[in-house]
Amino acid sequence: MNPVPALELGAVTVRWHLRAAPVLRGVSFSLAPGERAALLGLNGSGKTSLLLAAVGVAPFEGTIRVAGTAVGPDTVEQVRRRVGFLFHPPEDQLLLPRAVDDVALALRRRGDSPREARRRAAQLLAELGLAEVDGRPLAELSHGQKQRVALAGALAAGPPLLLLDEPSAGLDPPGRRHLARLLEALPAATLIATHDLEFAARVCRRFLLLHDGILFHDGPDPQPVLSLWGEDAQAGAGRHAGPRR
Amino acid sequence: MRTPYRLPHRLAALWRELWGCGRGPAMQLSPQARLAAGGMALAACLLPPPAGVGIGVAVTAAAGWAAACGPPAKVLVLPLAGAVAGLLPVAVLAGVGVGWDAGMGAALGVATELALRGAAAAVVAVATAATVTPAELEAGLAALGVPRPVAALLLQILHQTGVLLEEVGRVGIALTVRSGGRGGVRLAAALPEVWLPRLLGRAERVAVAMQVRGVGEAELAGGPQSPWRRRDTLALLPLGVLVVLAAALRWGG
Repeated sequence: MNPVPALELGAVTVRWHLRAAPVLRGVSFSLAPGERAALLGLNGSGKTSLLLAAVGVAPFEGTIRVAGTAVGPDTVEQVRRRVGFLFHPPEDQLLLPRAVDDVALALRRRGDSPREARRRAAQLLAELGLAEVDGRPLAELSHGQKQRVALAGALAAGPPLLLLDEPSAGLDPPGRRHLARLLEALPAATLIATHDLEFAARVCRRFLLLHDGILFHDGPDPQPVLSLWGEDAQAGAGRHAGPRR
Repeated sequence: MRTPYRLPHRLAALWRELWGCGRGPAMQLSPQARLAAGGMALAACLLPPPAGVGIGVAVTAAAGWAAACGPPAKVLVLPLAGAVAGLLPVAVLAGVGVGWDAGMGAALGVATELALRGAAAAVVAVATAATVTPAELEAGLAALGVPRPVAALLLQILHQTGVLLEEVGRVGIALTVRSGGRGGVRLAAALPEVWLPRLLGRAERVAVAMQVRGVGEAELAGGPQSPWRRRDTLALLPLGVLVVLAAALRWGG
């Protein structure tokens, strides 16, 4: 018997306003537990809208299921508890003045005591190489540090599904490598919306390409993306186009 | 060299330093007692009539509470100066409004009252903020029975105020650099048109993040709680006396 997909979209159309043109049109795919996929597309192709629809923020037609639960008004809170979400830019999701408190938010939502939540949050920040920033005001952190704090907040409660919007944006090369290693080690199903093809090729074994709101390509081969995006993308992805597991 | 647009940066830094920077005896109280005491000090400043004993009560409440909280002078001075500077035109306008009918003495009285009350309220607010870290503020609000979503919203407003101040500083620097010393006024005039949609966009994205991350959900555990202790009650007594005195002066004839 096949396991329940971590994320399943069936003919999903997203339009932000009633009379607006749809930003996503009839998109269908599913993500198996533990699978990592890159959601690629140029600016305005609908990547962020797809992620937001999956957590019930963007209005959609069709069906979206997270770990078997259909996303709808009655289930949206339950669904959101199962999802770790990284927003872009990260500043928008940092909601408490200190890193350790912000990361602890997800743990407190899960029901951990405040003391335990802070302890675990500090531990997670240390694992992400952020031990020195846990008590510092977020305003004093660099963009890369904020990105990692936001990621820690998304990972903290150990959700089975991660939806990451541009996780490598603004990170320096060592930061990207560190993030890639971290994501590779996680057991959660992960959908990474990005146009950083080099990063995607390093972390993912499946490539979904959105073009003008339509799922243009879905497969293990990034070649159609390379064709559509041109030489720059080929140069970036080529560095990680070796054999995959 | 003087950095352009220093004020927003300075305000942002002060805003970050403000929370929990107090060193006075009020820091020994539970967070909820500090918040309650701040509320009482504010009431004692705003209630009494602006004459004689009334002024004495307001000044005693503001100065006494500020001394008990012990915020560093630099934290107290800038907001106080800002409050006076911001309130002065309002006070003068209100005074002039009264002055047409009642003579300049009454006009001066109204202006002075507004300025004094505003300054006292600013001192009390800053002193109270200096007694609590954000976590203590959250715990104190929960202990005082403030509904969780309201407390979450309040904390978010305070957090985003700091973020906003930082951003004002960054935009100010961008204006300076891009105008190259010329056309600054034109760029500054365009600021609301550029700035407001940007603010609205950010507010919308933060609201989405709050939804997705579950901020304000009723089942969230509160912050670390401190029990109400005897010394909390004892500390509130003098402020209670001042509030009663202020109310008696206001309504007791």
